[in-house]
Amino acid sequence: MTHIGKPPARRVLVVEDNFNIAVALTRLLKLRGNEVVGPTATVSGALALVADQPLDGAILDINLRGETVYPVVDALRAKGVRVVFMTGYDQKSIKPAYVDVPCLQKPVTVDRVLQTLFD
Amino acid sequence: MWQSIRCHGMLPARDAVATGWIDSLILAVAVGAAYFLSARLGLALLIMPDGVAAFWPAAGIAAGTLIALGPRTRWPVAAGAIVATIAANLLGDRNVFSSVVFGLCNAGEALLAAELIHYRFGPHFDLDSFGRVLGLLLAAVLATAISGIGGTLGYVLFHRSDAPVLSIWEHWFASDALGIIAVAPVLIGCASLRRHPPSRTEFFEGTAALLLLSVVGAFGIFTGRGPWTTVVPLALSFPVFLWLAARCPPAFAAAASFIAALAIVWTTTFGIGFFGTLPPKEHITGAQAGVLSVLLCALVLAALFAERRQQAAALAKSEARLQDALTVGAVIAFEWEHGSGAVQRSGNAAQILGFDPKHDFTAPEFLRHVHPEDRERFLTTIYGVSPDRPSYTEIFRFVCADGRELWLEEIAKAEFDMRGRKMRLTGLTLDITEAMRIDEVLRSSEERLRHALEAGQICTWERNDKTGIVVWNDQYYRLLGYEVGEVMPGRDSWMGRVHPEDRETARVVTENGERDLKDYVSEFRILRPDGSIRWARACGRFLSEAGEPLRTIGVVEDITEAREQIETQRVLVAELQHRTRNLMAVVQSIAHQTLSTTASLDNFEARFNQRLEALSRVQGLLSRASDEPITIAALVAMELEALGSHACNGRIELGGPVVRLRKSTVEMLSLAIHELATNAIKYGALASEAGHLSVTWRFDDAAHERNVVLEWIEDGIAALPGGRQSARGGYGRTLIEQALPYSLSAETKFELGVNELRCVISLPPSAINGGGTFT
Repeated sequence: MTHIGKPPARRVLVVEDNFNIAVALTRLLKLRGNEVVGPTATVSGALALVADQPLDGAILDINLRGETVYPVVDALRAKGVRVVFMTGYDQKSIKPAYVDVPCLQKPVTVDRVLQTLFD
Repeated sequence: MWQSIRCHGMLPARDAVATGWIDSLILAVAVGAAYFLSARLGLALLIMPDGVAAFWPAAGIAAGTLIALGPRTRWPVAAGAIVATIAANLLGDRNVFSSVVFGLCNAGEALLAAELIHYRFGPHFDLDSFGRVLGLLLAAVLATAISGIGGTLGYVLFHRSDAPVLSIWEHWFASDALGIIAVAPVLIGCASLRRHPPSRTEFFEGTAALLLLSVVGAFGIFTGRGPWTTVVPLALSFPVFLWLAARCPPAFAAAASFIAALAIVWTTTFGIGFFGTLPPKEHITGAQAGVLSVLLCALVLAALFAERRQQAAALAKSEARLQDALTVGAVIAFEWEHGSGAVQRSGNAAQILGFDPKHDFTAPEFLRHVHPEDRERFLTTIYGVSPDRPSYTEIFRFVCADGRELWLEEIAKAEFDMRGRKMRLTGLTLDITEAMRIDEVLRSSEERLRHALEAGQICTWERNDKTGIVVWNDQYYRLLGYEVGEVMPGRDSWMGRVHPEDRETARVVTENGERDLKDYVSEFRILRPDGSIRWARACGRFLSEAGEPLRTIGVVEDITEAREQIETQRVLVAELQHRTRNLMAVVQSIAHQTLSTTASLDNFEARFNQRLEALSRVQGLLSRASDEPITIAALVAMELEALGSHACNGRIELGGPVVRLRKSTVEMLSLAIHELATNAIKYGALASEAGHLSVTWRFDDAAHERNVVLEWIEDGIAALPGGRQSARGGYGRTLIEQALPYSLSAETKFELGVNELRCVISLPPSAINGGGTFT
């Protein structure tokens, strides 16, 4: 694999409460040359990372141990960071204010996530 | 003479005609001819010393024709009478002037008499009542009394009669009045016969009687003088008159009296019999009196009998009508004589009550057929009548002889004598079986519908669009959270209970339906005063006539349960979908993890399958979680048993309080326990006989939070070849040291010694207690 002309590593926030998924996702994102911020399983943890870290994109699970991730979306939007939902729920169950956020249903390949996020 | 009358009798065949002038001319000529002939007859019988005829039948010809044919024939008749009078008089010894005066008087007399009759009695005058006979008599008297004045003037002025003026008038009056009374009834009778043809019997009897009377008359006239010639005919004619009057139409009696009058005049004129023997002056007056009495007797008798016949016919007709009405209306009229017990019932009773009409249906028999269950009540009612409360209405069942059961309604009134004793009971019995049946069908159908609506908890409402009155069933009051009857049903009381957020929609749907007169369905929430919310589904229909709304009816159904079920189902489906997808992602990531920690593909397959099985066991627990909450004990025992730990009985110690886990905790914790157990069996305490495993958990109140601390302690671990240390690292350790803190915010310790393992997992309150959210 050549890395000529390869763009600088993108900083991607992973918010996912399932450890297995978070670990796998992190590993795969790194394999594709991204820098992972997180992962974190809670809204408060995510908000802290959004506030501190420069970000290019964010992959968010919607339901985090009974909390919804929407406050994180608001913070990311405020910073102009691209966001994609990765969830087990239907698109229909997303709060109306956030239907414009691209939503991917689990399970999904990491390439598909990156494509949705940055293309 | 008789022939001439018969000839006139044919005139009514042209009836009320005389519209065309030809008819009028023919009538004028016919009346003229008849008048002329009878005038000649009258002049031939001229016996008065003053030259006035004793009997003037011509007057009756004119007046009778006019009365019989109606006012339209007045001018032809008048013309005929004038011309005939003049002609007849000129052929006698009268001069032109007197003849003209007499003609005018005769015509005027006929017109006057006819007009009076028409004025008083209208068209189709008949001598079938006493009043009418009297009317004809009076009209004749009045008309002739007046025409007599004119006639007397004619005599005095142009005839130079020596007789006293009053006497002339009196003679004129008497002869003309007699003429009218004798002849006009015959003509009137003929016209009446044409309108109401007599029966065959009447005709033959009448004709026979007339022939008999003619023979008697002829006997009187032609058998010479002597007292017998008067007495015998009179005696013989009386039964004939009676017979005619009683059995035939008045026309025959009129004809008979005419024959009698003619006979009397004849015998008087020619001095035959009784009237012929009287002194000259008296015999004329006597004859006139005789004629008058015969005429009046016959006519009055005939009229009285005719009246009676009419009344009898009317009565029979009305009786028949009543009978028809009773039969059609299934009504029996009855009268029960209390003393004798005799019962009279209308003719339809036998048919309605189903008994033999030839057989007497007595009161006791009637009572026997009253339904046993109703009999006592019925008897109480009947015997309960008193002068204070003489009438009753009673509905009861009646069992016919053929077994049919009827519903009867009896309305009756009792009559009492002076001492208050019941005399008779009269009343009507109505057959209301059909009405009761329809009523019953309606009632039971309504009952069924009501039960169905109640069982289905369906509310109904109805609005009369003319009056605006709205009716709700009890169910609807309750659905809206009202006490039954608490409010006046209507749009406001309905809208007041519709959830404020749904009011606008409900209003628009209803109003659209109302505007287009189309059925509508609307769903809305009901907010009750106690704060509870019910979902309702309302369907309405507008009934109209020619675009005008008449009634609106609707049903309302409580669909709260159905909506809740649908909502639950929706959540469940979403949850299932979520869990499935999450599981796939977990499988996907476990595959990655296993791949990265195993060296060979065989090894991978074994470990991956074990982990999948553990995952599958957790799903089994989770699917039953709502029925039996998942506890730490259940989770640990399940994993150990699944891995065949029963072989190590006695070396495993489990213990701790009942701790219910949240569903979101179960999956991750069970994967961790699975890894610990797998390693214990493969490499740890359970791999050798000497090892011992203790799994205990307790609530730890030391921290400000109430954590659950689980300790997994293995000791007596035998040293195994192949370096256990590294083997006990890997995925299991990662799960405990990283995944549990990450996913559950747990604090963990993993301490592996030479022959012991100590793993402590401290779960925060957010991981335990169960309930809460689904994830």
